[in-house]
Amino acid sequence: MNDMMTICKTTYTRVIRTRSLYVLLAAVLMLVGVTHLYADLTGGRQAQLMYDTGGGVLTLVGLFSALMVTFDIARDLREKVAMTLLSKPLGRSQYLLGKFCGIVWIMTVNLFILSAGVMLVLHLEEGTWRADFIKLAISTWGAMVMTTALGVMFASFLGELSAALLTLFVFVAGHATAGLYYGTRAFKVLGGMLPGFCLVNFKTELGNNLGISWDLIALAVAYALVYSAVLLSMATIFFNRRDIA
Amino acid sequence: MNSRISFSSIVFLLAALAASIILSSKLAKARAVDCVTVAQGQSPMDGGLGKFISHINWMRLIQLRGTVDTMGGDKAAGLLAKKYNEITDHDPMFAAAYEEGALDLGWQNPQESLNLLDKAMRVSKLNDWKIPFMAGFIAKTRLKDPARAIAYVEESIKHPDCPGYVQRYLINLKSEVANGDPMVTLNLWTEYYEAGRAPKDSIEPRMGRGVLRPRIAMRTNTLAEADRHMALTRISQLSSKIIADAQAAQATEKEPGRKKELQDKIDNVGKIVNQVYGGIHICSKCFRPFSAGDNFCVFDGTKLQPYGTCPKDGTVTRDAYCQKCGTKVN
Repeated sequence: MNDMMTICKTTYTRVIRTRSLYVLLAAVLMLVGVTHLYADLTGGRQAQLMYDTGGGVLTLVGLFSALMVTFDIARDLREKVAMTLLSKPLGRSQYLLGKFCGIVWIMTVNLFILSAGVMLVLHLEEGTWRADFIKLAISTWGAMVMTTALGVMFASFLGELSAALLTLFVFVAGHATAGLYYGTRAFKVLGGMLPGFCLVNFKTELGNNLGISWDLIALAVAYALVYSAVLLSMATIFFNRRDIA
Repeated sequence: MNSRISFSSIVFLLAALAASIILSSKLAKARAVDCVTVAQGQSPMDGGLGKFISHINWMRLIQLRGTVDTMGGDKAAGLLAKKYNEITDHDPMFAAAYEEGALDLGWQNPQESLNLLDKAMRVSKLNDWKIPFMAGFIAKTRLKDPARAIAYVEESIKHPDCPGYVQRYLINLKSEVANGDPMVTLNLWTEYYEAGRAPKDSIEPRMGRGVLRPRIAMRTNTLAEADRHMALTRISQLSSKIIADAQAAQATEKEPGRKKELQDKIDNVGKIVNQVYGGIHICSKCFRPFSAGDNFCVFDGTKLQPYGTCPKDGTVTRDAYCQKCGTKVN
């Protein structure tokens, strides 16, 4: 456990020291803020644009944070860092879990900073606190935990570019599989085996003030965590079989 | 090749997979109740950024809309329909895109416009009375198809926040389908008025002291004041017309069977009017209410049987005894 936490902390510290990350976050927040000026271009829908840009930005930042794991694992393998680490009494699963936790930690910090920033910008625009944005942020976090696990799974047997592209592809495709969950039992089982990103996405509902309950958000996050466990156990199996000498 | 796969890893994987299948099924069920569901084949590959992309497309459409008039009608309509469909594919709840798109396309290609509104009506959570109303309006004005328009407007009035004018539009459409038959129209207006009546109906007492013109709304009714006024005016006008026509036909009619039929019609209309106005005094010719003390109808000059006046000095009163001389008022 301690070894895993050390890898997690190292991964987190290495990324969090990057100054460009903060510049990027500030730029992204500014991008959300300037949508205030889009009243004419949107036909008076600038407030909705701001909320949805905030949601979109959370997804993009979370996605890029999650994709980092594919590059991080591949770099460790390329630079033989992984071999050095694994020569110590450290299990491969612990190494993967450490990487996963490190990236999830970074992603959580990024999403927290962004969510707080977007909520502040929305408050300045609308004069009220959009508390439902917290639900959006939490559901996005769930989706991104799943994406990180997906990245770990692909990185466990593929190269960095192919793992990243495949993660991106599955992330996009996973948002278009809603029909599976409302089909026959076989389709439902198939849907349960595939990453159902569409199930944890509430942007349309929250953006249109439909009022999603906390129970539903909790269920979505629980699903995301359980599915991440599936992906991580698959990653462990693949990584244990991988020849990294 | 390393082949260390522990049994516990496999067991954990299978257990987690089973749990995820159960959870995904539960989550999908819960989403079906609380979330937006659209018709099949409407899930674009937008990576969960659909709502944001719909805004980008909306802004692009506004820019495009400025140049589209230079194109030919069908070409422009096809292009605009494609754009509106793209926006609403990404955000099925974008009510403004459906509504503005329908009005925009309605002039160039009404069928495309109705297709867009039909798509909106298939979105589970889009409870907007304006969408079926617009569809009805376009079917009526552009396709000249009142029967289709009725089906749409009937959908619209199911929404609790639907305003009264939509119901009146439906009455006009139904009347048109019945070729303007006054009896059908009278029944429609009566139904409209009666549907707005409060469950425990009560008739207001006679007019207040000094009130010379009657207030048209005599009964408790959930319709707005102006809507009640309009309904009662239409009921009075139609009743008056039906009875006048029936009486004219009766005067020239020789056949007793037909005469009786006309008399039944007159009696029937009389019953409808009495039911609507309750115990209120109304002119026997134009069926409009009159005030206490009125000797002639202000609408058509018919001689009236006055009420609410002192038999001794003619003072108008609402009470049982005259306030000037104390005589009992009937």
